[in-house]
Amino acid sequence: MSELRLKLFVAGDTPRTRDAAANLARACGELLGDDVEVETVDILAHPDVADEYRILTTPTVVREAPAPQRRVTGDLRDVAQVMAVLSIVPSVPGS
Amino acid sequence: MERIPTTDDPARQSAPAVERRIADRRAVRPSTHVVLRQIIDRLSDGVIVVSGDGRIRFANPAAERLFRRPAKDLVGQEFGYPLSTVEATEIEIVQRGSGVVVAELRLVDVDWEDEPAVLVSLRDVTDRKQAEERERLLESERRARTEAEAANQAKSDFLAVMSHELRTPLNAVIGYAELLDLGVVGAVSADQRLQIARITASGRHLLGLVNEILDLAKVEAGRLSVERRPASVVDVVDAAIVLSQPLAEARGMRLGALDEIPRDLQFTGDRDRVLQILTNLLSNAVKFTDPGGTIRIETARVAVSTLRHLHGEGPWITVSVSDSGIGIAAEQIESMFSPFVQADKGHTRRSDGTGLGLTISRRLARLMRGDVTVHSAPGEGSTFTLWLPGAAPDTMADSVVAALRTPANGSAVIPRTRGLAEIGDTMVQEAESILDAFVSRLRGEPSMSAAPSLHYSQLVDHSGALLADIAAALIALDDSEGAPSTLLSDSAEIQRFIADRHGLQRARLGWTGDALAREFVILHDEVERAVSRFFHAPEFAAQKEEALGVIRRLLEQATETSRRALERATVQADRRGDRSAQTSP
Repeated sequence: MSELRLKLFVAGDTPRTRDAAANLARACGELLGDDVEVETVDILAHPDVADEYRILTTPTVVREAPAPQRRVTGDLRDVAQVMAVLSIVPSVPGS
Repeated sequence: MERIPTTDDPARQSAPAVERRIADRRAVRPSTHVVLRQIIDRLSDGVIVVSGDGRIRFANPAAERLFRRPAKDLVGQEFGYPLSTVEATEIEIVQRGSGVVVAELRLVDVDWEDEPAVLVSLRDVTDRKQAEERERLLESERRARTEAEAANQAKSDFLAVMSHELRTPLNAVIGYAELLDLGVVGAVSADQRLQIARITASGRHLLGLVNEILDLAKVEAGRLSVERRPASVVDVVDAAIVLSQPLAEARGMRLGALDEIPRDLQFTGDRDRVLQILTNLLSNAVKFTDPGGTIRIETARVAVSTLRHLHGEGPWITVSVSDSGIGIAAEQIESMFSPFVQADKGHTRRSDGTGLGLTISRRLARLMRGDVTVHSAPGEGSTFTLWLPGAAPDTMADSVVAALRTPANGSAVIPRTRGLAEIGDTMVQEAESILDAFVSRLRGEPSMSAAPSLHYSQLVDHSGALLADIAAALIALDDSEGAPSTLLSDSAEIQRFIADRHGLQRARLGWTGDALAREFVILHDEVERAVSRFFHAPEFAAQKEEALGVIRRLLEQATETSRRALERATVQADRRGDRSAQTSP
């Protein structure tokens, strides 16, 4: 089990959501190697999951683990900013 | 300025009383904070305040509407820390019930109850997104039409060339064979004469095939025009019998009309094309009937028809050709009307020909707003029926071409169609501004109380597609110089379909017939305004008048079709209502 688990909530399959997902996965991979697990949830396909997480807007990233849960929404292009808000720090500092 | 609340007319109060009221008013004047809250509550943009932990601390009424959740459900809820790298970014709002709307998000850092927080303003841009999407669709439609027109032009150029290239040498072959046969270049022996006869016969046969293929190609390219004028049924049936008699006699059959055809029976159409269809039907009947069989010709006048392809009012003239031949199996009947098909599966292909005859016949008939149908069963012979509009009152009331006729005498006017395409193009280019004006007028209409609460897309509904097809009709009319064409009848069919759907959608919204009629008047107004704006110069006067006439009649037809659909749907809804009223306790 990865130490860091993220869920990315998107609405439908649009170029923007694909960008957001790809960006996030790439950045996480660069920073954290295999220690991260990113799951993308399409709320149109899985409204029940969106309900369960009480998602109000998309795209939203939820940090599931480690606890406590934190989330960020809006424009996710600035990955460093996303990481900062989610208090994610590279596992190998300085690399 | 806010009005001072008074129960009486202030003018009638004494001056000290008024001053006292003003003083009271000042005493309770709200603080700046309260005023700001009032402004935020009245904003049309959704405003929420998110504290540093990502939770919602405040939501205004517009935000409640946007999320479809009451403020008490929003406040305290985790929103997520909002981020934006640009001034405004687009996000999707997940509404209660899983609806999704696109909103523009703007962020401002504020202090909220002495804590740092982010003020998030959300503007619903679903309408704008849909308008962009519609523009994109219109653009691709416009491009597709341009491409189709170019392809059509290429096809018809090719046809003109091929027609010349194929027919010229064939006519030379036949001509020189005939000269040989006449002995122009010297005596011809009996053997040679026989061979020359074969050259001539094969040449004529080939010429017939070439003509058929070119005919079909012309019909398909929308380049074949038919006349529409009253003509005598008996004359054309007699002519067809005379032409087909030699073939029939060669096979030991006699042709004749079963009943005396009333001399005053008339159809509306192209006499030569009707003759072509009947000759084809008769020669098929002869080919597929064994020697000694019978072929009957019957005519009738039919008041109403339920045939799918017959759209006019009737009456209809039918000419039926029945044979006692081998018949056609049910599963082969429709494919018989496809190009290059003979019903020869299961029995030997025993007739020559391209297999195009029936295809051409049906298409020609449909160009005249009629049809060719068949009734048959294996072993029971076949009956092919040509349907044509009767020559009585204007039977083409709902056709596009009818829109160009002068109603007074019902005869086809040679329209000045040059320039209609330009107006059609402008309509497509201006579609968005026409629709915008249309929607804002609907929203302002006092008789449509529901309109302001509806989405742009709901209000526009099918109007955009309708405009595009009316524009297409103008372009097709220009293209065919006012003659009927398959493009035109396709366009008419699409318009009917769209208008029908539009009526059903309006019924779902609960609109009345009057509101529907009013809506079309507004749409017509806006189209007319747009066309007039672009073609106000005097040199455009004639084409503008003509285009506006066509647009008006097409919109009138669409109104009528939509109104019928609306009534139909309303009646059905009432019936369902009655039933559920009966079944519910």
